[in-house]
Amino acid sequence: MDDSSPSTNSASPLPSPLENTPLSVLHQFSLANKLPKDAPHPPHAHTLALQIAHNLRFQHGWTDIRLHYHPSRQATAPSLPRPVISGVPPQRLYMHPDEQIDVLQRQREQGKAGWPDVSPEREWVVASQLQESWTLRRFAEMFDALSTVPEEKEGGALFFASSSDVNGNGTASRSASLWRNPDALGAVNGASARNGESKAVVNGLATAAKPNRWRTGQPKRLLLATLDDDSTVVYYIVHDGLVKPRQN
Amino acid sequence: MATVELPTVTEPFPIFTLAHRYLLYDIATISHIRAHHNIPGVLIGLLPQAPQQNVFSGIPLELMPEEARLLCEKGAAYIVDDVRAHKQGFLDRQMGEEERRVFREGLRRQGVVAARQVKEKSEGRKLAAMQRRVESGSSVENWNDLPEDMLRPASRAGKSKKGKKGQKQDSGLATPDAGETGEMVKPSANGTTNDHDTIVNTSVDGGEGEEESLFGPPMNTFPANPLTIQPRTTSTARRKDPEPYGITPATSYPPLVATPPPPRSNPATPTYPSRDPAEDVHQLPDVPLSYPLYRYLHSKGYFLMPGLRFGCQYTAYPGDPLRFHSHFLCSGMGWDEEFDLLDLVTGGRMGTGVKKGYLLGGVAKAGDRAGGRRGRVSESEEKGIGVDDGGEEELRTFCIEWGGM
Repeated sequence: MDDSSPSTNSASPLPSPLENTPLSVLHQFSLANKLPKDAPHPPHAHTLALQIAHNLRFQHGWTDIRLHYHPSRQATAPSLPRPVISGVPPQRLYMHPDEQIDVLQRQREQGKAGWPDVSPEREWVVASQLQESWTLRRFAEMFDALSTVPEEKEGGALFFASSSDVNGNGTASRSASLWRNPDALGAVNGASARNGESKAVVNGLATAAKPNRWRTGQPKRLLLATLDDDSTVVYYIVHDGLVKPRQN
Repeated sequence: MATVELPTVTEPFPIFTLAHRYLLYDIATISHIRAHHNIPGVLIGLLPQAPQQNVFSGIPLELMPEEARLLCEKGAAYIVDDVRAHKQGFLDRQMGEEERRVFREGLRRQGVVAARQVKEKSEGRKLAAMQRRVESGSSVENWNDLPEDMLRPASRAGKSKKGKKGQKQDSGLATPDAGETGEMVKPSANGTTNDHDTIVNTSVDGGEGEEESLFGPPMNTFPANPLTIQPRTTSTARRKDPEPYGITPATSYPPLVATPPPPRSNPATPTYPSRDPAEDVHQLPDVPLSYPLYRYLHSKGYFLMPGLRFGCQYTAYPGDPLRFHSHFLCSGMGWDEEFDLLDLVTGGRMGTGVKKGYLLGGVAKAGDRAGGRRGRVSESEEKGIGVDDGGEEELRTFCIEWGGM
């Protein structure tokens, strides 16, 4: 969270002409993550996804955020309608009511009280703007292009760089990976995060090994992030099918 | 748990349509569709005297067009246009003299039975009250404690205490008292002793007695009227019968007969409505575009109720609405019908606020799916619909919950 405020203010304390005005954090972020050449998406969709990713990272503390330009390998849809984010929330985002019963039952059998530690799961996040109008078909196309669980190896990691790390051509320096959660910082390999090919191995995350059987048994789900003009973002979980509601 | 034996309903049963509503008047049919077809409907019957009491309504039961249509498509029901049936049954086809007489006699007999039941009940109550009075009479010591208007009956109570043998003989007790107090018009020879007893009862038991007499047979303040009528009835059996109550039949389907239409050749593909609605025996209710969603959820075992209370089209209950909270607020959509994300946000908020999911669903246009991998549920969906329809229609649903972030 701390590294979200870059050192730009100290670099230019005085009001400066327009060309010297420091870039906003979000702008730097989008400069550091250019739309790949082979991605079939328009730039505005990419920018929207980046803004959501930024919000996820710095407002909600998500980690290991990746951006996907192509459909999951398990899915058979030819293309992804828009760039899709995947990331790991700080806590478990969603727990099916049946799983909740199961977890509590196990707790009781073990004679423990209270809520157990459930590992967070990697989630799909679809970025949208409030002005858009959606149809059921678009929801269906989106789900058809996604796998039930985001693959660890797919997509590209994002560079959450501070301004000092960004040079003019939009590449990030090695320290770009310092955005990661300070708790997990020791386990993060900056180089591997940088090349975006291998996932950072963070201790305590069970997502890499085997997905929860409750997750694979359920219909697909995604998190629909809706951005308003005032940069408010709301998040809603969308299930692909009939899933009974949680008893919050 | 005690289970009440449901009266058997023979299918197909009639659904009456009146002013574009689909109504059921028979409690047996209402129980039947709830128990066997997972259709609760909405009870809309109110009392004219208490129209503001709209929490507990009675029959008739109104069905949504979707519900009526589903029952018709299943072959479990058929639609009867109530106005047309009445015109044809009562105006075109005049009821015969004999038919009319039989029907009137039936009504009169019902009235007699009802009146007799009420009379027996009030007499039983009266006897019980008198018994109480006699038993507690001995404990009354200080007569000055009694209120003014109770003095006279109280003295009578003393009398009846003396003549204990005749305490249950109504006539022995009442007739001399009436003469003595002179509070009533002297009855004729065959005067009903009941009237006197009721008066006695009333004055003795105070409030309670008055309350009872309110529901008694017509009597008291002007006892002369019934008494003058009485001699005209000759047979003793008649004399014992109270005045029959006027029965207004709640349904016109003893005199009218609803005949089910001839069975369709294939219930899965209903015949199209014919041009002339008067000749159309297989008319199906017009349904909104969300009917496929209704049918899909119904086929999944959900009970569906109207969703206006939650700003949606249906609320889906996993079982009987009397036992379960609903799971989903459902809105049907066209496959390419555009909706605002703000609607989705408000619907999702509303649903999460009442611990439900907001559900969107629509028929996927066949053929132009991008060959996507289908979820587990979607596959079963297709199967379920395919059996029902014999077509390629696939329905997809999306549940929306607040992310909690």
